Amino acid sequence: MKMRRSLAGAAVGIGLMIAAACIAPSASAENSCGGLAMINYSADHAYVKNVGGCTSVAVRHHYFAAGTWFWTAMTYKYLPSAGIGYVSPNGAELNSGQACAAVYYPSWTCAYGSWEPVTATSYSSF
Amino acid sequence: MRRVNVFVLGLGVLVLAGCTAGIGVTGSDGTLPTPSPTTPQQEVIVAMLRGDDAQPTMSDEQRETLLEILATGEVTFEQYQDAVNRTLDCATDAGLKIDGPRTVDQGGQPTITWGWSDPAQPDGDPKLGEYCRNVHSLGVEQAYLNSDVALEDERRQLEAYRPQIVACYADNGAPLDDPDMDIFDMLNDYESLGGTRAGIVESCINELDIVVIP
Repeated sequence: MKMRRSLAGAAVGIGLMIAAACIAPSASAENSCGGLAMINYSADHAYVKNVGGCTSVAVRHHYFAAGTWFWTAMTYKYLPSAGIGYVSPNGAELNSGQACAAVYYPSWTCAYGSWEPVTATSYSSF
Repeated sequence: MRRVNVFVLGLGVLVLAGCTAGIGVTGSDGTLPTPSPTTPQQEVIVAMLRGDDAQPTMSDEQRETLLEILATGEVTFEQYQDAVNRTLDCATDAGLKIDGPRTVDQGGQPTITWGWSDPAQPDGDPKLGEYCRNVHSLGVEQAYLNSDVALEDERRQLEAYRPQIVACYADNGAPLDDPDMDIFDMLNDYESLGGTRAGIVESCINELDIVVIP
């Protein structure tokens, strides 16, 4: 039974890793302050970069832990520098999924209306 | 039922914040009293307080903490942690599942990370949690993450890329006069090149995949 459970766990883990690999390519989106926000993914985190002209950006990612999908709390960066990627920190050992970026000037909180999920294949306008 | 209670509480906080918005923050002419913002930390605090004046959401406790930090420039890990804990308590009361929190010691100061999920949302989107965060901790988090210590750490992380950035300029026919210049200035110096050369150096810097933990 123990073996079966660990095999099932391994299968789920591998599935998640494949899912993570599938979303790996970066995507970008024009944003409301004239810059270009690009989302990139690595094995265990997401980051937002290339945000010239924006006052602030945010990024978060989706990950799986303890049988549930979680979102990391949004990581905000005030006065981001162009050319630098700002990381959404690692949430758990198994990570996957979606990252978002938002530009929220003149509002300082990331209004949900301004969020557009950026996936591997889509380009979204903020 | 819990969710209803949280919303009622949220409305109460909004009303309360609406009644007290501006206490010690804005003068009768709508301008902020001293000190004028001169650091990124002061700038972000002032911006958040102004935003909250326009659309009151913050708890009185968070506003008071922010005003304290604005006056002194000091923000402790305990202030930050207390504020985050109030957010997480609020989110838990709203029915969200929380993964963590974990204290991470990766940079110049410890930071707190967590994950959350709303079982009532199809994708688990923690909108309620982010609302709680606006009420209780987002401003204090921003003050902490934009402190001098945090910005110095960001600078330290960027220094690791200095040789590669210098090479981006040199290899593309635009060697820097001062390769020891401020790292933030160096990242943006390509703008002064103008024309296609600016674009080439910019692309080169982008390809370095510079990543920092805020």
